[in-house]
Amino acid sequence: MTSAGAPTVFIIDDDASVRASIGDLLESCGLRSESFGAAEEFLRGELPNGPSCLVLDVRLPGVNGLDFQKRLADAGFQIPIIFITGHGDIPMTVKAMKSGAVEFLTKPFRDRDLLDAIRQALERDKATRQGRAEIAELRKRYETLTGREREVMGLVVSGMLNKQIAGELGNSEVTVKIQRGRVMKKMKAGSLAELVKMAGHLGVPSSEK
Amino acid sequence: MAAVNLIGSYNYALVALSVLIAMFASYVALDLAGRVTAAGGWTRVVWLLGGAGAMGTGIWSMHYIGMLAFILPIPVAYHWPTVLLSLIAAILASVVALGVVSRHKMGWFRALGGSVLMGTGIASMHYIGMAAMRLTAICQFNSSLVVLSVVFAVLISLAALWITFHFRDEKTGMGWEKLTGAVVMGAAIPIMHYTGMAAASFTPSGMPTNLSHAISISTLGTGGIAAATFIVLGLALLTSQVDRRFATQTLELKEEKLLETEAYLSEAQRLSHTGSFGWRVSTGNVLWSEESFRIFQYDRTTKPTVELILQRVHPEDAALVQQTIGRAAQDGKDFDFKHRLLMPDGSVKYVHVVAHAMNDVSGSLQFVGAVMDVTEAKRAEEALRRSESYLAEAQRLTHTGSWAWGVAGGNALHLSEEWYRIYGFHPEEGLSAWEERRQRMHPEDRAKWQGVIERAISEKSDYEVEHRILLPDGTFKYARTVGHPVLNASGDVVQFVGTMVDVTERKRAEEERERLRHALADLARVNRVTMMGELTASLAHEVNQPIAAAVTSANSCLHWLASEVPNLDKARAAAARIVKDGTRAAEIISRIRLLFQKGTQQLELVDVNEVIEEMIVLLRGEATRYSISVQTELTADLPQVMGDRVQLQQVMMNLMTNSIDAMKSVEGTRELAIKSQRAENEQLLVSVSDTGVGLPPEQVDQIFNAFFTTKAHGTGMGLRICRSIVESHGGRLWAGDNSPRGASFHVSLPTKVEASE
Repeated sequence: MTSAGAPTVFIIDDDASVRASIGDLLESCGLRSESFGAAEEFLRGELPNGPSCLVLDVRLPGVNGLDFQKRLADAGFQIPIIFITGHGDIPMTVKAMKSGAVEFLTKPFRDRDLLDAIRQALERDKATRQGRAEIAELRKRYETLTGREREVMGLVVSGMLNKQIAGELGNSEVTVKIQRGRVMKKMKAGSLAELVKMAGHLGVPSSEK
Repeated sequence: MAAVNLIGSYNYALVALSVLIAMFASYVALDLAGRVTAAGGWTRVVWLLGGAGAMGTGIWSMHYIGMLAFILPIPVAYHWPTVLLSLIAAILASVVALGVVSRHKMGWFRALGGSVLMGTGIASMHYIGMAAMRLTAICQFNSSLVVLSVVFAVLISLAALWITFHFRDEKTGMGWEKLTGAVVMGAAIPIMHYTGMAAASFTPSGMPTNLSHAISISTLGTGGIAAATFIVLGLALLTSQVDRRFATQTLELKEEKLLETEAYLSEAQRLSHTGSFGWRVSTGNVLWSEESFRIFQYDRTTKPTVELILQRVHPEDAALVQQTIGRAAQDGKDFDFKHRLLMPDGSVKYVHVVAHAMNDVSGSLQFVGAVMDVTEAKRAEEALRRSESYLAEAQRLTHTGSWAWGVAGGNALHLSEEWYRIYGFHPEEGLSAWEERRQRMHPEDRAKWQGVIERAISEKSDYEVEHRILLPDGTFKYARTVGHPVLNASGDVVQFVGTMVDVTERKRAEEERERLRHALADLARVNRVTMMGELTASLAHEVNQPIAAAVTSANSCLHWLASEVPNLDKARAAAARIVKDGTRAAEIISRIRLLFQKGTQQLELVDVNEVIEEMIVLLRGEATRYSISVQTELTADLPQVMGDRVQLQQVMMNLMTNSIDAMKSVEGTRELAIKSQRAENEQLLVSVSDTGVGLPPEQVDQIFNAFFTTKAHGTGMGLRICRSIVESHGGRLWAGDNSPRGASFHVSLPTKVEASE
């Protein structure tokens, strides 16, 4: 993972031929890939920096692909997964999709299906990563608010008027107005609606009484 | 001339002397008669003449002593030539007498003739002697007394002859019989004499007596006569005794020889277990030799009788014996038969009795014969017969006939009963069946058979040929004939001996086995197909993998070619992968197809490790599906096994799928371990172990039974079929526990290929 931005596709399949062929296919489309024969090998490797996805064989020696998906999720390791299998059945597919799989492909698959799925997965990962970055920024801004300002923000986003807030906090309406302006400025919110959205991302509880 | 008879008186001492002389003479005569009888040829003539001389002298001397005892009042002289003549008459009479009595046989006619001649002789002697008297008196005879005296002479002679004939004894020197005979005879002769004397009466004539050649006998003369007579008689007796002694000695020598011969004979009888016997039918007298006593086990002192013999005869043979000897006695015919004896100790003897019938002089029937103890021979014969019957029985049980045939004429020399039976002949048909057998040989096999025989003859070698026998009822048998040449001293084949075995049952059993093998193969195939059916998903996965890889590689190949600047190296590499994966898929499919294949066992050299690896490939998907790791520990350079590849694959696959099934539901490690190694006795050992549920504890023995299963949908045939397959390869299949968990199955297979069915 040299360049932080370059997307990487991870392939886990116990069949070397399958690994090699998928890797080559991705290469022919200009995609970087890394292959592993077993799930443990993948876990031992470095964690991806840029957008990435995982092409995972359902049937792996020692561990089942679906179980592995669950293990990753439990560990807070979010990576889009495309399942490939020699023989997929409907319950298995449903389970995989419910657990957030991007796609469930049955071997042999059409190259387009795989490439589309990979593209989609990378997009999704990119979006996920982007979203995570924005929230981090908002959190950073939120950290700069004083305690009173956070209170005001909570009441604001809950839809209360300045007068109501002043009454709630026992301040004057003017003070509330000033504080509200500071919040809007610190949070770089252009409008009340934007602030409400930010609060939603941050999970700031709207104070209702 | 006064016709007054002269009264004679007797000197009784002389009378007594005359009687004594008569007795002595009689005794000598008896003694001599024995000698004459004993002698033969010219010695007999000498004895006869000598004896007659002595006896005649005795009789004559008695006569003259008797005459001298008669005392007449006038002097009496004797004309000596007449006296001599009377002596000759006495000797002649004696010749006749001895001649008659010394014969071996004496009939009535001979006895009567002899006694008449002898009596006449004695009477002649007497009256000639009377005529020799020269005295001055006329001698007149009372004719009736004369006749009486002659009759006495004849009767006395007859009595004398009879006594002498019956009391003559060659051996006994002095016996009471002889003495009595002598006394009777000695008394009888004087009776005749004195009767004759009584017939004569003398009348004095006064005429001068012609005394020419006449002599007077004085008292001294009387003594002389008596003495001379005694001397002559004594000499005769002495000679007789000496001769008897010699004769006895000779006889003793002869007897010794005879005894020796008898001893030899007795020994010979003992050695040959042959006793001899004589049986006089009329008297029932039976004579036995020592060996006969031994054979019948009777004491030597027992008097043998027919009754005693019958007591020893085996009860079952009693009727036969009685009938045989009864008929022989009736018809006077020889007999020859065998029967058993039952001895007092309960043992049984076999005897062979041979007898010759003959009539003796008196015309009575007697048998002379031999009784042979043939027990040993009989036992040997029985043993032989028994061993022959054992052999025949063994031949019958093993369906093995024996034979021998001569090369020169091609004719049979020996054919056992079983040989006949195998060919469907009757043993009674005899050796002629040998020729007929050609007709019973299956036509298609004749040429082959002929060729084998001819080669064996020319090469002087053993031969072995299998051919069919076509029986009259249309069925046929398989026979295997083995022959061995018998060479003569010069190395030529003179005959072949050998056996013929009816191998029909074996053949049929082989066919049956072949059918069973087919059945097993079919069953095994069904089992394989079932097993493969259960594995379809896994097998499909295995085929799918390379196909998926190939398809993907094909796509990437197209991509490389489609770019603005086609990357040919990459495209080529992709194509190469396609080839590789396609080939791999094809291999897996062909392996699967092989397992579906139909057909009987096909033996080839098989590398067991290869079989194991192939099956692991097919089952890898299945193992992976249930998160089972597969470990192998295969010894390199294992010897190959002669076997059916597909069936061995089936065994491995079966054991491995069983292991996988056993681990599907267990928690923790799931490990399938397969090990191959060399074992003792040129065997190799394959173990398939798992960490599954293990064997049902109380059913370990049952898992190989047909229709025994612990699986919900199992047929219960898998392990049963596996065991059959392994056993048909000469190996073994067994199960055990795996440590610390699960089960182990072990297959041993022989690596040394033996000529098995």
